[in-house]
Amino acid sequence: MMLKDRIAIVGIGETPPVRRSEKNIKALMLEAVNNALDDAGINASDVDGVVTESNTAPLLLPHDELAANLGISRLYTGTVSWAGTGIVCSPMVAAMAIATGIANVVVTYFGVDWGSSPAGPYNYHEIYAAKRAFEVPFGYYGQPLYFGVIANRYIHEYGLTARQLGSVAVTQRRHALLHGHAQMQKPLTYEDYERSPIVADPLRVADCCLLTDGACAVVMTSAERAKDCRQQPVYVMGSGFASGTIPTGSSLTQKPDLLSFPAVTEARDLALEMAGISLADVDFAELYDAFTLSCLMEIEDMGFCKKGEAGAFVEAGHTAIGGTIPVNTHGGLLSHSYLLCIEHLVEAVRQLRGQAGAAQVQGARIGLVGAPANPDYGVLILRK
Amino acid sequence: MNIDYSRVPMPDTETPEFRPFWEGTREGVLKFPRCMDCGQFHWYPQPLCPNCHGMRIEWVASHGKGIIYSWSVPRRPFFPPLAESLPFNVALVELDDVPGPRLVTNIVDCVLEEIRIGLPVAVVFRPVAKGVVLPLFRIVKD
Repeated sequence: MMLKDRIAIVGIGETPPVRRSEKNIKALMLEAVNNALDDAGINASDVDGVVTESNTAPLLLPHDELAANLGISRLYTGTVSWAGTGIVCSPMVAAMAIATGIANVVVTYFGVDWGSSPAGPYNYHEIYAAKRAFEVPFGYYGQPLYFGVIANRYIHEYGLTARQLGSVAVTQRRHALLHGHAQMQKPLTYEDYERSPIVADPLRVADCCLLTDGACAVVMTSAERAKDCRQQPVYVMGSGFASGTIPTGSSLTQKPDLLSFPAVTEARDLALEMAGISLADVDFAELYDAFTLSCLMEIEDMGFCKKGEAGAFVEAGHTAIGGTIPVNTHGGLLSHSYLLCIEHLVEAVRQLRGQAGAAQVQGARIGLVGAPANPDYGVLILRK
Repeated sequence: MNIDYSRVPMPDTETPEFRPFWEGTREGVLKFPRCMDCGQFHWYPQPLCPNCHGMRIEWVASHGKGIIYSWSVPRRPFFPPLAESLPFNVALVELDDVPGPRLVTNIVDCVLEEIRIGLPVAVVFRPVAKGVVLPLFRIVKD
């Protein structure tokens, strides 16, 4: 049974991304879901399926509580992978439920209050016994440090100038300003980037993603039913999930190739195969950019340029709106918000609906969303 | 570079899966798990060999010499226990006789500017708490 084009995204909802919200995270997530339902022109009572990543969303707002707030009874409730990969693969699972007739209208949501919460995103690393034993005692703790280590190795193997690395930050900040409602509204020049203080050699504050309080939600239904919804449908053309073999607690120090994310090419190829397209057909990409360096690595792993060349590629303007392959047209995790890529999914839909305003990729017909959750990787291909 | 190890959370050296490593460091020996069926090392310790899913694992001593694979220096206190020890270094070390694993560690007796990828290093064992000896590394200078 083919999943290609079986479902469409018919509604998107979000809360304005901010550093600190007055509202608690449950209220934010429910607001995003309501906004998505309004956007779709679908009644809450028609929702009969829920799919989310497994690690954060259902701990903050369990599926049964979402259902209680919507007043619904679910015919399908599921989780897939975790973090960014789980978010990107939620439409795949929604498509499985809808194509088999198990559910008809499926909602996915994600949000965090890491802007307000002091531990932010760091403390999930403490749950791994091996990290507690073999990393924490040496002060090896915190994603900026993990990626500082990886960045130094990247520089050693391929070379990378500060300007090349900074190009990711500068380009995406421009995109955020074109977007107009991103968390970051101030320009970032190369001089600003170089003045940005070092967090963990060689990474600067400007190389690191934001901290955000916010939430987004997406409503999906069958391609047939999508025609009756308020907005132009955006079809799920292809989806791919794959994973490496080294556990998440070890991955960032032990994987033989430290300079690639595991399973990107496998997940990409599965998605392209389902979609029946090649990478050259993709008009824009929203990629997980927790760090400028991560974004460079994914641009390479995805095949938009050769390994080791992404710095020059971005510096030359190829990933800018109007360039060869616009990346993170909303500003990404670096400048739009840090919601682990649900905002990337929302942005891709907006682009394909032609609703991106000043940030619109002209003639966008096919978009790609990609995100890791070591050692998993997910790729989603959407079309108008 | 002076990390105040009295401030960091100490490893649980009694967890059965990890205990041989810490017994080794207490005796001044670096040991790593190796599969008795296929001979491959792995790290961090896990019950089955990731190469052949064998269940017979032994711990093998390394001579403790290797190279710096990569490093970084935190400049902001996102790890509160070591806020007062900033700046310090962390490094990934590959041992010459243990292909595959990378040990997370700190390089001691050096200034931060000396640290470079590819430098030869040798293990030094540092008692930091009752029953806990950490493997740190110093740069080998000829």
